[in-house]
Amino acid sequence: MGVHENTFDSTLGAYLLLLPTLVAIGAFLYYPSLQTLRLSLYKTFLFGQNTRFVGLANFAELLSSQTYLGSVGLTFAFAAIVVAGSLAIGLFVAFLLYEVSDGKAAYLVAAIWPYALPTAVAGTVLLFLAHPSVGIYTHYLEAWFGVELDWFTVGWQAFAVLAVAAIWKQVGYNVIFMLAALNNVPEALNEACELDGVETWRRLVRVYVPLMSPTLVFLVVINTIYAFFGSFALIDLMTQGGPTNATNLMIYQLYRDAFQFNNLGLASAESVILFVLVAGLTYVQLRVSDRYAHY
Amino acid sequence: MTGITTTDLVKRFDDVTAVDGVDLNVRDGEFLVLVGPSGCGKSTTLRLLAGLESPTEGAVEIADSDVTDTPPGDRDVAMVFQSYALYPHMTARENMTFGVRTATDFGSGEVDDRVAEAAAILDIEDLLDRTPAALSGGEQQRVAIGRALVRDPEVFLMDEPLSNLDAKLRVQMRAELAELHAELQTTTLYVTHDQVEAMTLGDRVAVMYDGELQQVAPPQRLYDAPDTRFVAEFIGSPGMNTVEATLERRGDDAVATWGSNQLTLPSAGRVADRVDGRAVLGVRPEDLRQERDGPLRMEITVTEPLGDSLLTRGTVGGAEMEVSLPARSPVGVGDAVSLAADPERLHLFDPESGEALYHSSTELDATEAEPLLADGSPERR
Amino acid sequence: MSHETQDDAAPSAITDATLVPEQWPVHAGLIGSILLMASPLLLAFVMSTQTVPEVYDITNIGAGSDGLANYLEVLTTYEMASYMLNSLVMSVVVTVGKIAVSLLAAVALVFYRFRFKNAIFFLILFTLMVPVPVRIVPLYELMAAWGWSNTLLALTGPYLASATAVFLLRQHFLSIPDSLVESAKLDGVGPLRFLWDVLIPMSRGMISGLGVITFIYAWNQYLWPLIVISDQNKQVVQVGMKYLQSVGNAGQTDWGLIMAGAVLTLLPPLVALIAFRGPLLETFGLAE
Repeated sequence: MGVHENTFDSTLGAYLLLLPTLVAIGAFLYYPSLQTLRLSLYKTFLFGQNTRFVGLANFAELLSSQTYLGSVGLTFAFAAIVVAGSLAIGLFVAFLLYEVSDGKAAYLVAAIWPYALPTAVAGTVLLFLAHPSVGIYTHYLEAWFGVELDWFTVGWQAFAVLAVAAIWKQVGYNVIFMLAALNNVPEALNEACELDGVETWRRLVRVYVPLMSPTLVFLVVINTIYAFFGSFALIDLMTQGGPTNATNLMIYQLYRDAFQFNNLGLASAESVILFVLVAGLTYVQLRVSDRYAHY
Repeated sequence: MTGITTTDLVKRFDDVTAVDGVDLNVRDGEFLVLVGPSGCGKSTTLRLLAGLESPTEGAVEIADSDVTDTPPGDRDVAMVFQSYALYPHMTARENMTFGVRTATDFGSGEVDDRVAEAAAILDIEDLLDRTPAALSGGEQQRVAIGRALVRDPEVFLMDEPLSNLDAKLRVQMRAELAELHAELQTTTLYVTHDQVEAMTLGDRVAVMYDGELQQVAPPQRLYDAPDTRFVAEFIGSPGMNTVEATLERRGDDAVATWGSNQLTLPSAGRVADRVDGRAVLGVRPEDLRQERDGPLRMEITVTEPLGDSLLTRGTVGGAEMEVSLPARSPVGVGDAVSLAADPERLHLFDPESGEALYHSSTELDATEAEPLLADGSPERR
Repeated sequence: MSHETQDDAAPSAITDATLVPEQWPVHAGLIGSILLMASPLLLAFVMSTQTVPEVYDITNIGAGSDGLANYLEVLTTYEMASYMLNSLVMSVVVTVGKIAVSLLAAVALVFYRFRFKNAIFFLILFTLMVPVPVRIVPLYELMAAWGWSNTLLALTGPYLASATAVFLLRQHFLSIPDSLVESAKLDGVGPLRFLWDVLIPMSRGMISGLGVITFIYAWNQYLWPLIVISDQNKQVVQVGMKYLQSVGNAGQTDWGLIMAGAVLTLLPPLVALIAFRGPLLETFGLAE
């Protein structure tokens, strides 16, 4: 650091170079974030024309609303399932990719492409393929397992379809990072395992996973944020929060309060709660990892 | 005049003093080598001259103007780095010309001429359109030197430029550097930890230790008359043997005694008077010889045949010493041999300060107008 | 004795493992997972060539008789071409703008020493914690107040600052050897020339990697364009997917057409990913 930072000697120059970034984060990130905080203390009337200071009334309203609390619980459940699912599948695929010796490059591209998958496309495609009446997946699942599937009316099924879509989209990202972490495992450790005759799956669980723990923690954080914020397009295109709020995650509730019901104060309070929850979760995840991860 | 002068140069990093009051004078056109063990402050000194570090105290003058506060780009110095510092995305030619535009006011035709000239001198004309990845280590270093040549600076600064090369290439490049300097006569300060490089390249050699200059002198004088015990032990391969001994006056001479070993130091009587009976005796391995009935007795512990000589290590009166014996001398580990020392090649150092008190050679007077005896007593016999 | 036999057996086991690739379970697992992940798209592609009656014949997964007609129709009649163009403009502007802005910031953070540097770096990194939903209401109001609603400025401005890009570029600049930086300093090379002639050429891989990541990210945005663009002509393709949903005749949704739209929407980021997979993986620390 020392050598690099002495290269150019001009405080003014440094601030000029930083100016675009500072203006952008000021105008588009920090100013609106603080405004969110302020707005969350106001009530909006008449389609946002009038505002009145109400203190913490918005928060009180949210925390006493069964709908909202249900949405919070749903979001946590959704995040847990998506994080666990996308990490488990990601780890499985990444480990296979790491182990395979022939055709690695081709497999790699074939496995990570969902990284490019737009959420809206994932939602639209699954909306059709898993459609209760015309979906081919639904058709065969019903035919093979003799179940009745109608996620347009059955809440848990809608929730499951949404989770599958979210996991599908996220796996590519996880595979990339996990494979990078696997590649950093020292070759000598692999050879030691081979000499000791450690079986493949035990090697994954006992050797690789602990060594990958910094990456895994990072992915848990990123996937949590994704589950909280990134699934909006899926809900908007597939379920609109239904049936009967079964997929009404916090982000969607926020969108509806803000832009369908014009309840800007309440929506801002929801933004604040979202921020606090995600920041809190990130903090807890990092603290837990500090204690248990092998660095 | 394009010499370099530093006055009381001090550089501290937090609580470490890397350079501690260095007064260095590189003369116009001189090739001066700054040598010392790693961590002695030699690289920091070079970087202070380049302006890559700014001194805590003291001043730097280049070509008679004070550049202490001048940014590196305006000092008209060119530097050759140990790691070559070639831009990986540029060809050799682009590397050589990249800095020239900003650092000098050469026109583009002139730059082309200078590149051609430097390439001819360094014999890299065929390599100019290659990128560093396509060049060997030696070729990369030639390009790096070429880049410095093109700049036509007042001063060349070289920071261990040969250290990344293999041994054979290093010897070859060393000779070429010497030739290059003989041709260009540009003032050069060259930093190395390798004393062979220092001795072979330097018009003068500055030995640095622990942030301080120990001695600045032509190579042979550094070897023959080290100013300090550190220089004595550092210069030479292996370095000078030193042993703490009692010193007694015997007429004009003095006798050093340790264990049952005794050596007579001609004309050292006055030194013995001053030092209160104790001094460090110094004698180089190549100034000891095997001699029946010699005054020293060594128990041999290790022998290292070097081909042209047999380096022998052992203890003399409890002190570790090394002796360079003729090749194929019939001695082995466990033998005890008698040794004598060349009376013209004995040295005494102060046991506390390490400063030289005495050199027995009679040929030194003419070589340099520096006092042979410490505390300014030039006359000896 | 048993100890010795183990020693003898171990080396031959290694040789076997490397010489005879008994990896069929690995290959089977990979092919299975890849097919599972790709099957929705493969099916979507097949059905995008089908007519409405063919689509409603659920188990028919043969190539449809519409050929590429659905694509033509969705591009022209249903305006997908113009949505895609809008998306392209937005993504390119965001990509170029974000990288340019982040390059400048990274140069300042790495090659200068100034007051509040760590505080500013922290401020930039902390923006990771405030994604669009956390500030969506005031941001929307701000755009309205500035008269930016329905403009490219509103689509791109909020994406210009990037913690990830600044962070990755900063790491990369810090890894440039000291002596290269010092060499430029000795030559008195100025910051912009240093950026243009040294840093950018030396960061080509990192910049292309960031470029693909940003392009894919921008192309896939949904919520913000949905809110800030109400003029359908100016809408991006992701939201265009939503408009497509209502397409159909006599109560029968034209899923073939919608799947054609989905395939088209996926194509640009997928092509970008495949074309730039090298730098992309390198940027994620996974050199090929």
